[in-house]
Amino acid sequence: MGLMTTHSNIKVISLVPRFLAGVLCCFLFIFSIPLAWAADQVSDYGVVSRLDDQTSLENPDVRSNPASRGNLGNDVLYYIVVDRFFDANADNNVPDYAFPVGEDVDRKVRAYNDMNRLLLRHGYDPTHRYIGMYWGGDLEGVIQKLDYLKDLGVTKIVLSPIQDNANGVLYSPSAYGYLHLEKDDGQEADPLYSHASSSFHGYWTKDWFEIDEHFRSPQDETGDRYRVFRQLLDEAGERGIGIIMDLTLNHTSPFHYSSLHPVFYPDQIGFWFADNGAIYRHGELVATYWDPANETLDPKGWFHPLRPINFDRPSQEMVENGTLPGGLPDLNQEVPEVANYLLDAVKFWLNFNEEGHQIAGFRLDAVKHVNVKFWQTLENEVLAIRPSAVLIGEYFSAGYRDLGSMELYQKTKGYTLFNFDLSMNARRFFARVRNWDGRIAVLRDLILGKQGHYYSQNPLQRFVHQLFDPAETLEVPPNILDVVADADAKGWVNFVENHDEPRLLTEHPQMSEQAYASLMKFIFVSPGVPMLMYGVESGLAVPYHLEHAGLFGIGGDPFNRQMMIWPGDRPWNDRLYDLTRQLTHLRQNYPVLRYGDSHFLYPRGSKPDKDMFFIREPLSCDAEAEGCTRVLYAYSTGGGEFLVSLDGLAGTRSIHQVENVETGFKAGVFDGLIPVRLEPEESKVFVLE
Amino acid sequence: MQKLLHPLGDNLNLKDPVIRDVFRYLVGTLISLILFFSLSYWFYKVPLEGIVDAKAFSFGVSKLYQIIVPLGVFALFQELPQRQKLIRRVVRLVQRFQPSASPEKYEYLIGLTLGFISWKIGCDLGFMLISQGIPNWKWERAFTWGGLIPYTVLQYVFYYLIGQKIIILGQLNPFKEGGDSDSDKTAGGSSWKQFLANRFPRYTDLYYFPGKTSVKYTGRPSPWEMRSAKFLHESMNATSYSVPLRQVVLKPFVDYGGIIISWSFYNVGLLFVQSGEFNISPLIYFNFLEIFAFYVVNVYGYILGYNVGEFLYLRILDLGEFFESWDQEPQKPKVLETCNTFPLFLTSFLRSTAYHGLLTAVKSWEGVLMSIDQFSTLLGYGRSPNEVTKNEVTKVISSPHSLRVLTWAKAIRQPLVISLSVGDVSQIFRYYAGRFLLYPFSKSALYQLLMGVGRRWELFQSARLWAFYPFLERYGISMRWFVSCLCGLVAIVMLEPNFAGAIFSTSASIQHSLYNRYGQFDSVLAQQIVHKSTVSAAPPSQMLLDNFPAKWGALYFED
Repeated sequence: MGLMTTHSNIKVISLVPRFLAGVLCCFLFIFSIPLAWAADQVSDYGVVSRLDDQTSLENPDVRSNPASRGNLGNDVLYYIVVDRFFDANADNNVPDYAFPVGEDVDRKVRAYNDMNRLLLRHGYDPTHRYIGMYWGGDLEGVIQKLDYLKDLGVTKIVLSPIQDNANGVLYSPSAYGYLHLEKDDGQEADPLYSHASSSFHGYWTKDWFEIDEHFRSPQDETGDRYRVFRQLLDEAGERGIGIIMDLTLNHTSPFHYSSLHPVFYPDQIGFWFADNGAIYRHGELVATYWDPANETLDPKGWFHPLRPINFDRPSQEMVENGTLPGGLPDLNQEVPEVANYLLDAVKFWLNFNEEGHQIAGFRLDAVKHVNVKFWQTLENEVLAIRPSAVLIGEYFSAGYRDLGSMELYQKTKGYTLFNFDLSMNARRFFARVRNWDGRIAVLRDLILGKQGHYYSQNPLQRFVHQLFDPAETLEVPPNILDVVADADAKGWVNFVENHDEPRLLTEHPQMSEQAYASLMKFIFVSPGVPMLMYGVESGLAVPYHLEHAGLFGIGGDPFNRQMMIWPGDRPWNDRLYDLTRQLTHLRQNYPVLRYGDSHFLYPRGSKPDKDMFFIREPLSCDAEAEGCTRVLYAYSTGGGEFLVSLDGLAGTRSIHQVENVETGFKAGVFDGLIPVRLEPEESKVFVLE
Repeated sequence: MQKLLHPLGDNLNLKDPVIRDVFRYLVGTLISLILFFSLSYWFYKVPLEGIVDAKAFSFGVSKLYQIIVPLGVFALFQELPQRQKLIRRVVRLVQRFQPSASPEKYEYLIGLTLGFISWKIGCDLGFMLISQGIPNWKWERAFTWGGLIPYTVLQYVFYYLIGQKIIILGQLNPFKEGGDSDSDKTAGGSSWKQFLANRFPRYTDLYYFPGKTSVKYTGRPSPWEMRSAKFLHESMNATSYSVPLRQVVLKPFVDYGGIIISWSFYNVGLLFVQSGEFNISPLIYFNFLEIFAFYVVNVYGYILGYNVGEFLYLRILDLGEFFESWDQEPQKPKVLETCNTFPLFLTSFLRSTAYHGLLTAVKSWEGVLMSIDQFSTLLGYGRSPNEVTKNEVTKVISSPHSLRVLTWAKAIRQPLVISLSVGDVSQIFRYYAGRFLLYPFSKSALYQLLMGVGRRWELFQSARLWAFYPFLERYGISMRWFVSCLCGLVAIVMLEPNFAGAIFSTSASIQHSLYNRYGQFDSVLAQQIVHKSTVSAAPPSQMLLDNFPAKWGALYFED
């Protein structure tokens, strides 16, 4: 009896907290209704429309591999700065042949050609010490290295702009351009070249319909000037590699705003150019920008007025209509002639090489600097011609937490984007710069999206959170997640390095190879489409030096664009290369990495802010189904032994084997437990079957 | 029944000649300013942010908020209805746990907390404006209460207890408020007054903390000590000759240290609120240099401007006395020379080649830097550049009487010089004064105007402002305060580019020296460069510079 009384007492006592919890839940529920409603109504974008991911996932095929905006599939992209990749044809290093100066040439044309020849001679640097000048890489070089890229596992190449660029030299005293081999070996450097920039990068376009002479072949001048590019498209296509063209539709080239010729002053910016921002179509002048002879600026009204962008406090109007640093004339796409010219160019390249393999699509540069209406027109036109065309918009700093990029993303329907938010945070985390954004808490919510911690909070929790942190600057704003479909977010492009940001090993000279490799693995295992900047597979980087400082810090543009090195070259890093190769193939062998869901795990002994364990699993992986492969990523800052438990994950009881991707070592899985041993900063990737 | 005098009723009517003339002057000035900015924008596409450096403007706004917000919050707290009642209730609540709690102490603590919070918000409002270059930084972050709590606690411990009490005042026991002796108590009064003395020293009779351990004056400080205090120290946005040297020397260190510690822990608090992790990385990855520049500009720029403002204010008073002396002189209206024709300078200037040169120069501010040599070239516009001698140009722009208008070329930060002599300016002014304001520019008329304005101002003060005087006096708000603060803010905006530029360039030089001496250079990565370089070199750039002019001429100027 006494025992029974005790039991009943215990029962009653145990009911009390349950009752209280129930009351609390009711309370929360009652309050959550108006709060949830309010949260939906109050949004930076006004009334928010929720996209129903489930609708598109009803079809089983779509569930396994749902299409995403931008038309990237299970791809591995590889970005090449053509001039820095491989010099297969020395004859086009100083391509005089494109500018004949014979007696039969019209005097005016001859003067123009003569000027260009001078600029070409002084724009090429065979020593490869002045990083702002041309170094000789060409499209034939890319063709020669297609087998290398195929073997590496690349599926699509993103070429830096190859359209015809203005020749010239921009001198800026505050911009360095000399590569040091020792700390203080800059004494003999040429005073102009060591601060000079040329159009080697391809972003100073003058003729959107032509290939730049540096990337053509002298033999083709009187025949098919596009031959080399056709050959590249066809040979890449035969290897199953697509070519994505980079287009700069925002601006033209630098100009010298005076009728008097430029004079060199060491402490002042100087421009030595022949075209002064002019636009051509197949070599024919269609619009001038600055005409020194008549002292007229933009006579046809194709450009926005000169007005530098104040990046400290930019307005939308300023960002779209302002002038980028360097005084690059900003095209006015609201002028019908300008829009038509640019759209014609887009269509020209889209329809190019109809007989053979065509381009896969476009990487569109500086999208934030052009009005959204133009991008809407462009995507309509492109997708009408080819619905499968790849469209990647380069919106600097884009991602869930960049509201400007999300606004543009919401207003368009065909572009994917570079996920700066995830990529840059990952870089910071693995480089151990974990003070603000470079933390697991941020990475986790960026990866999980709607399954993220903050989004999953109930309205009351979120209300309390907002009370303390109203700006939500560290969070992924829930209203953004409401308008971005998960499947689309998985089509965003992630990168370890890109053509603007510093090379990791330059920016963080203390970063260990282990940490670098862990970042590579993270980018390949995370949701999204990985993009390799050329050389990242071998740890390409210039040494840390205070004068190796570019636009985005030490090691940034242009110091992240040094000449590519190849297997067999002395500093080539085989370990990193092999790892990259394994990861690209892993990516293609396991589409779950591209399309699957993510779950974070917290093994006993791991530190949530220092160690990261997450698993990728298919969307359509039914419970207990056989052959439902998952991939596990494990990283530890301090190292240690961890027992990863798969408890709580649906269908994991069928997992009986785990394979280390790098070593190929296989082991059995018992009771859903996977033992993982990690060195400090080491990560491991496992395939669970 | 006698009608009451109402300054804004009977006396403010547009028929009043004085009011009318003041109105004219004000409208004329306003129109001139609008015209200036509009013409700048329309003709030269120079936006406002191009004329005033945006970052400098942010520094100024920051300081403005630092002045307004704490003062506003403090005043609000003081004027709060039922304030004492509220405090007593809080204290009664506290007394349940701590019977010895005194209302004064808690009033003091609440005031202190409000002071720190409002100070932080004031700083943030402006500081976040200058931090927009950092991705995803939003000024709203300032209002993250989760971050404000550690900030306030840290400010209290490090800035107030350790910095102010122990380091600056030398009080070994920082919790000890006031002195022990009766005389000290008499001098110091209540702890609340001591707090006032600390936070708002210029608004109270007591300037220094009393107490045995505090610094006390034993006589008049030496002139250099007084000047040091006046030009190297500010407290609560005001300067004074009478500040102990110890405080002058130590305060910048305490301030900067306090900022570093409290700001970085503010971030630590934010991270904790977001993810529950205790992450002290913000202490390591702190923008030390940027904050240092911010501090130096906002403190020393403000001090300079504030003192200049005070000086100006006193000179304005002198000027009033000077004008009063005119009243003693025989009234002989002497019409000053007005200029009814279009100023000769402007006529000749607009027709001159120099104008066209300048036009080109101004237009080119975004892309081209300008040196004296280039300016010379531009002055020679239409002539051969060689015809303009360097002496000619130097004479114009180096003339001690010339007014130099430094340009707005923010992006290039290179001064473009437009020279106008004082005579030119005077001519232009007289022209526009005569043309638009139509006012007889005579000594007596000016006197009458000023006297009229003065009388009406006095009337307005006594009839309208009297009700606010006690309030304004309580918080030290006066015309002198207004002029000084305004000049302080203007000085920050004007000096920021140079101050901050000097700090950053000095820092860069130090970094280079340190790197050259101690820095590591990765020879393995250097091998990647060596491997791809060749022996042959590009032709020297001098060849480009030598040959380009001829080709430029051939391309654009040969028919």
